[in-house]
Amino acid sequence: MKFWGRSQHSPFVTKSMAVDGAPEPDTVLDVTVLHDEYADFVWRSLQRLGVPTSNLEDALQDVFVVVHRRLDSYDASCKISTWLFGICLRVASSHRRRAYLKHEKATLEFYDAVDEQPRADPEGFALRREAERRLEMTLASMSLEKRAVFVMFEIEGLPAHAIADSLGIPLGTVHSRLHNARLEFTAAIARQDLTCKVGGVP
Amino acid sequence: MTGTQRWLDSGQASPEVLELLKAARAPSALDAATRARSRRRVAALTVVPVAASVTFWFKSVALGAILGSAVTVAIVVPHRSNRSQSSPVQSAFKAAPEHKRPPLAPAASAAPGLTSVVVEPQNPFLPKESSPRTSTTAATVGKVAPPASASLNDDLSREIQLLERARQLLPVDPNRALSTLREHQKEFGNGTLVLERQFLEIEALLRLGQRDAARARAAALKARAPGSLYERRLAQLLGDETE
Repeated sequence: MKFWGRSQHSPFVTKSMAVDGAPEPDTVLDVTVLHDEYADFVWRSLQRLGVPTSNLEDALQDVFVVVHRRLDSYDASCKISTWLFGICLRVASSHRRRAYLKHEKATLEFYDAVDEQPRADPEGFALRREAERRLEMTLASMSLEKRAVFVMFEIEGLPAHAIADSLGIPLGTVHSRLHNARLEFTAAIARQDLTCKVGGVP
Repeated sequence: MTGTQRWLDSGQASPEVLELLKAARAPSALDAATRARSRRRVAALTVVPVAASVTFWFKSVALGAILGSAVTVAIVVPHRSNRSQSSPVQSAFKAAPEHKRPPLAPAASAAPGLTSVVVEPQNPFLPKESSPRTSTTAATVGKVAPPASASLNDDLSREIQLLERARQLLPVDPNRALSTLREHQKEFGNGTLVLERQFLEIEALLRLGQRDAARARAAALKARAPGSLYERRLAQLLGDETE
């Protein structure tokens, strides 16, 4: 998967934004066109990669700044969604590193923006929030690539071939990453349980 | 591998994991307001290069103008200052009558033991700081240095060279010293160091035993440069010779 390689074709007259990513000739590739077509994909991808809700808009902007800067290096041989996901991966990694350096508990913000009235079922609401918190902490301990595959498969319910198509990776790689992600996820849950049993806060 | 099922569908994971996955929310879609806001920002990105290029154009023009002015000043100012400082010297040198010029390097010859001519730093017709200034100017503006001062220096160097050679020949071969002094007379009949040449000629004649001719020349030299250091040097020279 080549994200930063220079294309042999002109980057500004390459392909259209077809749903399946298939290029159509003589269509001007522009960052605003890419935004119109792929903003939602980028937005979802950033969430899958664990970017906190409070940083999502900034991260979205960061992705398209990189797209604008790197547009001439886009390799026409790979799908645009694959290229964009690679950028999302780097931006999310940067945000995660920044949050770590600033000692932020970014993972806890993942679902904070969700408006839910706890009045109807306060106990159920509290349990759900606790489960969300634990889930996000578990996901945050995984590598970004595995996390993305895990979220797309287990939470979003996307089929493996759709994930492979979206991320631009072979189907076998999807299954491999999913397998490893499951192991990591289970191990992380076990670690949290152990921490709780010895009296620590997960 | 196509048979891989979600944990939630197959139920093969632990109840705790299943509980967590049930609580999970799928990523939310991008809402219209955020999308519009983001699009405005992205559209602004495409405008930046144009604005930036205009800014850079103005900057480059301003930078070019400043550099051009600096180079012009660096070339013109030293050239003018050099001309303004060298012209009075040259005009004074040309306008001054030969007998009224200040004596050149009298102290060097008068001082005992100082036989070599150290004329250059004491020459009033050469600006004392002319050498360093010329070299600085040459280093700064290359060929802009005035040629007049250069030729003046060359002539003076040649005069010094001839007189120094004659002075060295005086004790060993006064005839050759005299011929060297005549060579100087041919090249620089009205040269800067004409008084020094005449003084050396008198000394050469004395060493050759032509006392009358030497005395006649000494009288002429005294008349030409009255009150100068040459008068004292001649008195010393002729007095020694008389003794």
